[in-house]
Amino acid sequence: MSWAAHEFENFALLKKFGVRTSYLGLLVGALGPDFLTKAWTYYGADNPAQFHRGWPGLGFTTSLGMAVIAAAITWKVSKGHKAWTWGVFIGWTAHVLTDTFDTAGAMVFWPFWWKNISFGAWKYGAGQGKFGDAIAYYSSLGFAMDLLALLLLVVFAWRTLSRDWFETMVRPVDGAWDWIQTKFAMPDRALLAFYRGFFFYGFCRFVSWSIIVHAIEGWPFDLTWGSPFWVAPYQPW
Amino acid sequence: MTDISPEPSVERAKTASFRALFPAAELRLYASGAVVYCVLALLTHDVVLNWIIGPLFITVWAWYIPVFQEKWARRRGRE
Repeated sequence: MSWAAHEFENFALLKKFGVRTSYLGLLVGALGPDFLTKAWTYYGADNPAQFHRGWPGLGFTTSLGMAVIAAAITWKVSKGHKAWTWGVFIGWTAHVLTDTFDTAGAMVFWPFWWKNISFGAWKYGAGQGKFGDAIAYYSSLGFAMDLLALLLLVVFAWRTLSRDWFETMVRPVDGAWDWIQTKFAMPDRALLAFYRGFFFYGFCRFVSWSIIVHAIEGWPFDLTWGSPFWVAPYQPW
Repeated sequence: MTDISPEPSVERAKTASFRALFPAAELRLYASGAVVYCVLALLTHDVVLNWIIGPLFITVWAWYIPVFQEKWARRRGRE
């Protein structure tokens, strides 16, 4: 699975798709697959990889088919709001494609094809528990994935984090921003911070886990394909 | 901190420089928030590192720290 990359990719997608896409829709789409599965993956599943990404389990939630279903539900609930529908679909799809880089992969073409697609760049580590998963991810090419996503955002999509971008290309597309501001009596700067919140969280998450794993806990980097070496090879269910 | 930057525009969003789009006071506010949040994360490990507390932390930080700063400045001005 990917960690901070999921937070960073939303802003790059926002740059790419502009006013056609709701940022909040993107966010819901990007968080959707893990929101449905993550807590059980760490704390309840006998076989975390199968439960999270496979079948029998909830692996179908990380698929393009589920992205279509989530978009259809959004279309219905939002009474045809195109930017929200498109945002949920794009965000969910990006999450699915990013997750194909670990050894568990994702059931990308469910329900037409139930096999997982995996590039195997880093080992799926949820079986180690959350802390062990963090150690495995931030010692492997997962660390490089987060760093690459951060660099791409900083180089190509940094303008999306500006107040001007938010006020002219994000907020007008989606009435939910005005609702949030009114509901919580937020000043403009707080609403802007809320918009930037997942970038902030992703950046701090990347920095903090890197320090915890390497400087405090002393784990080495293993930036080879299919790393890290100490996690047992992935066993298909 | 009051909002004193120019009226937002698509033109500015697409062409203005980094310095014009990100005022120094705003960068300091977010950088200080990041330092505090990361220190909390290092002290508590994954307790604060989640997708609810993280975004809420910076929202509350950017909302109230400027309020405290203004109060502090007014108080010092009276003394």
